[in-house]
Amino acid sequence: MSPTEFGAGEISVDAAALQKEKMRLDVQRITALIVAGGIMYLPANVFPVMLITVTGKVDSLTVFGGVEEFYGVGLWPAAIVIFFASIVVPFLKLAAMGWILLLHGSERHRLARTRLLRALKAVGTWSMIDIFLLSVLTAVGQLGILASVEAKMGALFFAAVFLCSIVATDLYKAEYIWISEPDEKQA
Amino acid sequence: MSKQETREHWIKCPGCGAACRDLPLEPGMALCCRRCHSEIHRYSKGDGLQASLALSITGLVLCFLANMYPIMTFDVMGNTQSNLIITGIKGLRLQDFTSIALLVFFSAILAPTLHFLGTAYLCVACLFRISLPALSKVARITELMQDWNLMPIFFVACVISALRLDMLGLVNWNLGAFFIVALALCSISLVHFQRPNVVTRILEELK
Repeated sequence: MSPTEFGAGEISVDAAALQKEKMRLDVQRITALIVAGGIMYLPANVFPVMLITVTGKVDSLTVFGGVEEFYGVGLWPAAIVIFFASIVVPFLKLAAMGWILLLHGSERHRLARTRLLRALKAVGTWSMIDIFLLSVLTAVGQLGILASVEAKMGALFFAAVFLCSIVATDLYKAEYIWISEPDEKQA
Repeated sequence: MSKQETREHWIKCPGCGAACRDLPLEPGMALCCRRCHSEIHRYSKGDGLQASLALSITGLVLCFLANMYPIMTFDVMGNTQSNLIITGIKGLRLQDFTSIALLVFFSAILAPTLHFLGTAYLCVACLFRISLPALSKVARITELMQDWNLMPIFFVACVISALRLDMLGLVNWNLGAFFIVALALCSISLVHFQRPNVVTRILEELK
């Protein structure tokens, strides 16, 4: 059926239905991304992210290992930045998106959810700090047997968690919080 | 944005997506959404277009320079290794971590460049009221690239890397680090000066 066969009102009803369908599909995708991110969060923190070798001394580092190392030598501001950006922020993003999805379609805590989503979008990208750290260290760690930095499997899981959470937060539009499910209001 | 929104100068609340009427503001006033109470925009003297254009051109030059000069030099027992932004990306690719290399390439090189390029394109169209091709597409891409312009985070990562490397050898900062700081500041300032409502309104008028 071509668009000219519809009246103006019918087109707008159709547009609203399309918007709801798009929202439904987006919510499905976001749920899949959050579940995938949640599954990969554990290996991202258990497996080493990088292997640093300097003058024969080998150091295998997990995300938390890096935090411990900085804290151990008294560089606690750097330890705090990495702890929050690489451990706390990804976990909070997944947990908060889970809560937002759980309440999707309901009218409860709409303002709180809107503010939370805005905060997630603002701080979400800071998790990239660990990936950038790996990139910079890999760049300078190319001195053969004297110094080398190798990326490890943990980095791949970490990047996957980051991508899952960032795409999920981007896909979930703030207006979805304010759209009621059809059976609630319009049915 | 619908036709009704453009006629009445309605703008979308960035916080909740509600349609809000764009009212003229006086000094000290801010337009807030009635639904989610978030600030949509604040009164500003100008439209921010000239400042945005200047910052985006500066950003483009800095993008080029930050990629041309090494960031730091790492010295272990007299053997030195310096790095460009691309060196780490190449290193990760050589270690078969292509997906991570692509992620770093996108967020540290491609997205900042496209963000500045897109902003400059939109500012030229808005300042001189020229209906350049594909303006709405460029606006959408620029908005997306703004979120992915992670230069401030890249700069923090460089500082933390230097602290980490300082435990293992000698680290010397190079000229590239200065350009990365400038690029990070330029990115932050550009977001501060941008007036998305002004750009949206002019783009609608140009259609």
